[in-house]
Amino acid sequence: MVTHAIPDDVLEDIFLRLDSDAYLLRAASTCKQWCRVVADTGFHRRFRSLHGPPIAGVYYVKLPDDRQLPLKFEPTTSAAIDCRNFSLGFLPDGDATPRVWSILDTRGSLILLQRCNEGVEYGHHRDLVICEPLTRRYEAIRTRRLVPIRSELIAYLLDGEAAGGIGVANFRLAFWAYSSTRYGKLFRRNATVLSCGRNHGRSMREISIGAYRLRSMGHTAAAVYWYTGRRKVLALDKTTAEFSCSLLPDMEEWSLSMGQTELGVTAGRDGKDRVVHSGVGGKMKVFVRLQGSSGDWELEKIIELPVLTCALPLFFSEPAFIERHRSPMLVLRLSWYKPLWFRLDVENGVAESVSGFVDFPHLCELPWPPHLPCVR
Amino acid sequence: MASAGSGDEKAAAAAMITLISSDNEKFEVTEATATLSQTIRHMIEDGCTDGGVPLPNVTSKILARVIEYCKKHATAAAGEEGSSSSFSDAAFLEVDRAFLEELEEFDDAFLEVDRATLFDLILAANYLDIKGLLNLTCQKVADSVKGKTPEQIREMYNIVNDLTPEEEAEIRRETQWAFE
Repeated sequence: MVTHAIPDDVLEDIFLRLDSDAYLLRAASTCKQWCRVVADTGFHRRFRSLHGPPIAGVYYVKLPDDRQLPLKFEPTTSAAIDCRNFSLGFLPDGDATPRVWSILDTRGSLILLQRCNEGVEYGHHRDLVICEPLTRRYEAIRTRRLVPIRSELIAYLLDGEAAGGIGVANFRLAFWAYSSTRYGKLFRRNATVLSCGRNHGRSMREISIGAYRLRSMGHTAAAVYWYTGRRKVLALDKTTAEFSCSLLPDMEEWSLSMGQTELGVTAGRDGKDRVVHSGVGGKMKVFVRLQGSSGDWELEKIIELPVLTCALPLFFSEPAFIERHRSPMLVLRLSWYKPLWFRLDVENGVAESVSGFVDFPHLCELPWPPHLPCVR
Repeated sequence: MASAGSGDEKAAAAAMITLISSDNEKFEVTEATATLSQTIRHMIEDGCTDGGVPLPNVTSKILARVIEYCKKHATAAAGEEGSSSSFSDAAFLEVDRAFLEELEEFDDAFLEVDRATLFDLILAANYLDIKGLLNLTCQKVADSVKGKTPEQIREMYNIVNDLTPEEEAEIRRETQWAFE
């Protein structure tokens, strides 16, 4: 009786001070009024702008020689959630050794996994699974009919068609088949976007893309990027699931053969994506988009790796190889023979030597907005 | 002479405000203390405080506590203003630090109340629009809720669970991970 006199806006003030989603959900299941306040979309916006994205932790895949081990999950300290909730044991063969699932992508609270079936030489038997570890739900996507024989698959998680980002009942999956040739990857002309909504409703859309010799540049939280040659960048927006083209600025390096350049992408702390070009001699060029998420790219800065890393000149006889890492970081490998590894912060130009290959941390968030019943 | 004396008395009386609780108890407070409440500040500005300020939403027990808080924080505010001109910077900082520490101790002791009183204080702070007190009490509730189960929260604050079993089951089904 006492509590019902507390106005909603004061309750909201109290709930905004809770620093874990778990505490918030427990408060929401106390009574109708508390539930209603937590379920409000305006409150969701304010809570997130105050506490940042609901990052639960990261999954590590590790190198193929660690395949015996289960996927490793490292929680962030503020999440206050039992680590066992993030085990993938609920998947078919989820506990099997050697491990049968490998992470392709994560977005929001979802993980996209592929069977690492070593017995099959070509990827056409590798079915995909999309799961939400916290609620132990998963959807299997049969790729057999969608991907031609003797070809492999790249796949990315995208936001759902309905508003509100991504969730187990609202997500899209983009995938694209390619065959590996001695001249690089040959992509099919059509990419597919599979849309999944409530009650397992699915729809599929084929998107015709002009180019089929593409170089993957990696992806950020906002988009997936490919280089299609002649300064052209192809991007797949992860929110709208639309493809778009843009141009990198004119410079002589573009006329060089592919072996003399390396390309990668990362996002700055300002949220803007950057294309990073690494050339012979240890010079890295960073490009940023002129107008937000549309428009062409312009040169932002040049990073001199020989100065930053103090490595001998012979390490720069070939371009530094770029591995994706958590933005705004990239992992660089100098030289194939006796490689040196560095972690580079593209934004402030700080390079840190690392002992070897650095595994990419796959971010996993908590389901958001929380699914709460509509109470009156 | 007599008229001048009554004039002084008037000025002194004008600086005092009478607050009347819901159970008709009267509290005399200085204007500096009373104006920590934005609600009362607006009333004073509008000149409608003659004959006392009735506060039908606040009991005498809670109003006494609220006034205790306001008095302490009003003198703190006045102390800061007064000291800034008469001390050197270092001395001022030292005084300031001691003052803030004392104020924090006061706040901590002030919050040592039972849960029902805490909720009443929140309501009063919200009604009277006293930012500092509202912040203090809301933070206290938020801290006490952290890590507790819904049952513990209900018990702590005497909340009646009016969720239907279906609603409760729906929350649990979707967010079981938050309860383990």
